[in-house]
Amino acid sequence: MQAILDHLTAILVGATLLGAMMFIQFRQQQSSIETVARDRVHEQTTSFFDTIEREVENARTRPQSVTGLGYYVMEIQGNDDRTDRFTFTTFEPTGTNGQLASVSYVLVPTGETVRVGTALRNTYDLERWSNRLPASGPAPNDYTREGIVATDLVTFRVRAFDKDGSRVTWAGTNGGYARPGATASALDPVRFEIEVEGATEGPRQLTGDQLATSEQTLARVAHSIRPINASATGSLVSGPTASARDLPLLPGEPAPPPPPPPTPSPTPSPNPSPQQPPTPAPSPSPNPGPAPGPPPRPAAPPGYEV
Amino acid sequence: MQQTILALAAILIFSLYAMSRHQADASRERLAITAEVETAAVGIARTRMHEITLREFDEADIGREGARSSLAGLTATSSFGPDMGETTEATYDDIDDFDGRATPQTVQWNGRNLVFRDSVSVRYVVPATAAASAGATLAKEVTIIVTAAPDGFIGTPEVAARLRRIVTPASSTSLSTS
Repeated sequence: MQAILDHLTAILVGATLLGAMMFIQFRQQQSSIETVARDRVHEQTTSFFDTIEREVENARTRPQSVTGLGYYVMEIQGNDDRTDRFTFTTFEPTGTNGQLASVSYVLVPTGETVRVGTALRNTYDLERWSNRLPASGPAPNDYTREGIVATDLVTFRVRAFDKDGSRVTWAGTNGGYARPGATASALDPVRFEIEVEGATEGPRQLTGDQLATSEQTLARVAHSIRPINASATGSLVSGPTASARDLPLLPGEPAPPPPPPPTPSPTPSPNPSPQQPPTPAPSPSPNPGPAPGPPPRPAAPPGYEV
Repeated sequence: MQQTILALAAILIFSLYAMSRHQADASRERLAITAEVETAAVGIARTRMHEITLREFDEADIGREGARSSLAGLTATSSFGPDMGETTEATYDDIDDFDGRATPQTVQWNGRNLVFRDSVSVRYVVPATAAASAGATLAKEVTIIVTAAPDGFIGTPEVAARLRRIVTPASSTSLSTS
């Protein structure tokens, strides 16, 4: 007892420093784990984004899709905060050649959450579905699931823009969010903005100050993507017109509401407004027939080459 | 007395060690956040570049078919900027309308705003060498600089992303048929 009292100061100071040193050691360990987790989620997110970026860059316009695939689908389902399904026509290189395919990215909730900073975020898987022409005959009416292309996403958002930089939302169709009109339009998108956030679970937080550090486990990639074929004028380029296809349903997906009544004027407007007027009813089945050829282009003026 | 001095020395040494560790952790976190801010800045720059290069090469090309092959009618450098009646970006119709344009940009990152500011400059360049040209040429260089102001509890670093692209009259007319 006498020895303890004689060294009371040293014991108190030593115990305090030992406790503080353990805390710092734990904190350093957590920071190291967060760094590794961040590197991993960043790699996963950017790798997936590279894939979808290549596909959207290869996206085909309405005339090209109608000519090569027999129908046209370009649709963004969801809301401003989250895209549930993004469908477009792209070119898939296979071997020395390739083929057109309608690709659909579908966001599927996992039912799990991940802590990012002080917030709990729902996580999603992203599935890839596709629809291709068979060896003969028209395209089938359903999409084929090809697997999961990304996991642990907390944000997937796609926005489409026309040649004037105006947001394309196709009001009045399919839940009021995003389906193009039945005929070629100046408002067909020529640019997309895709935002992806991936997150992973960091080390378990033990104290208040550690809560603030786990935002490192969130990686965000958001870029503007221009399909090479869209060109500056997008679907103002002369070409065949065809009805936008009624998107085939996925298993378990409820039937969409009835289409809006058709409008009498399907001709593209030279001065497009940000909102497209109500569109004719989409065709319930693909249009396998050949589309009419493009009209002849006018002669170039002096000083220009076509 | 001797024991107290030793205790004080131990506290001092430990304090230095603790500060060193915290500094290292903060630097690591700062690096991670810097990477996120840089990625966001590059994303904004790419978006702006796409918005701008969707427009016609020159005001004189609007409504024309095909790609320009002569210098006739090109806008002089001194006339870069919005043309008559072009009061908003939605009405800008050619690339040089954006010269001198600066706009604030906001990106949402995990529920909070990252604030940026972009600025655009356009100039003629010699197509063969990419050197600046005082007179009109068949190539315009678009430069976009995006900066982020320092912000946040550990001080989001000041980041600048610079993106340059040379645009020619044929840049926006390619169209594959496959």
